[in-house]
Amino acid sequence: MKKSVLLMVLLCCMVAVPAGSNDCFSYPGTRVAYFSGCSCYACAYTGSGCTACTNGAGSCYTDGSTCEPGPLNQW
Amino acid sequence: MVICLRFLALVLFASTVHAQSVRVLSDRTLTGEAALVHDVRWASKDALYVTSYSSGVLQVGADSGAVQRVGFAEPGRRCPSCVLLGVSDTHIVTSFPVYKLAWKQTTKPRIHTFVFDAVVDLDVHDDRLLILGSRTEDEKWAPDGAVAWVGSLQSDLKDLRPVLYSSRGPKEMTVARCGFLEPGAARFFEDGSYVVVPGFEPDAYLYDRTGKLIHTWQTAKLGFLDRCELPEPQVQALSADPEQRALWRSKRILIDDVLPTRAGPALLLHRVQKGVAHWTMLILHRDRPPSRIELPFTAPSDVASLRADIHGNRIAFLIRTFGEWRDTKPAPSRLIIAELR
Repeated sequence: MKKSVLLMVLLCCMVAVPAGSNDCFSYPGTRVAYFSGCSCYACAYTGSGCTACTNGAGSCYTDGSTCEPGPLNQW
Repeated sequence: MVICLRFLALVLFASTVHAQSVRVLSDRTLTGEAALVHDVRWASKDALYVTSYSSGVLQVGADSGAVQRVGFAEPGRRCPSCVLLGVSDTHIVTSFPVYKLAWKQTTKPRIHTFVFDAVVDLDVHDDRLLILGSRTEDEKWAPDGAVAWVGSLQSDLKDLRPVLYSSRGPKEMTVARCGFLEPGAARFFEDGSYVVVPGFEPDAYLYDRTGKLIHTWQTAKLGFLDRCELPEPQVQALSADPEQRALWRSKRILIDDVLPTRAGPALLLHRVQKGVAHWTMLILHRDRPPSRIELPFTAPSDVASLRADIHGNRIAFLIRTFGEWRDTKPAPSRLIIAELR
């Protein structure tokens, strides 16, 4: 029983580990700033651990919580 | 006799201080592709460039209002960098406030991009780019505390170098923490000298064209917010919530932009009274106290903000009224052409 609880805790912790460089919320010390006029959120630092959205203003047309690639950001 | 002379000097000084004024020549609401635009620069004596997130860089007739596309966005595709704008005879530069700026030579179609983590403001003179902002190195914000930079576009910004360092030290990360508040401004003068007004920390700095600091103005008593000392929870709240930010901004006097007038750097200070935005032009002189001009226009919104550019004595003011997070649609931008007398 104890082993299965330990396993569950371990799995939960693994899920909480950052999965990719595009997920600003996964990184410690980061925040998402809203930019008016662009109706847009973008990831920004408040510390180390997360680069700004690697695809530019990547979260601009979704829920503002993630930076994801899209046609908006391609040159 | 001495008293008389002093009185005369005072009268002369006062008349000089109040000598300048701003007269509105035209005031139009922009429409179509130019309805929601972010920044403005003179393209020539008759036309302006503006940045549109949805349409790229547009050229707008100063008198006619006629609009044509300049580039940065293909038809049907948006322009993610088309927020901040800098223009010289040879180059056009755009930048989103975080991550990346994009530039092109005026006569060539190719877009160059350059990663720069946080851009509060920018400007261009010939091929020289001035950035007020901060960048990361090895996933750390400017370890040297640099907050303003100059580099050459001709050399692909390989020579980009800091010209101003944070007075509060690199650990404060003032641009990283407060850049989203669009706190300051930077601009070249016609002769290639330039002014930097950080806004997130005190004072204004004037450099000659070689990058030598030639004058510093203390801003603590000039009547506007010249520093960002917000506790971290408030930074988090203001960055994520535009309505909280609008409320915070409406209770303070803030820098919207700076103009390179012949008399000196002219700060455009923004304040909100009873839901109406007002602006004051505060001209910084090197040999006497600043002079103030109340700008002869207002905007009926607590979220209106101002960007501007000057060509000779003609000023283009762009009033932006974004409030799209509210139920109402953003109001179309207003382009005001005025004369500095």
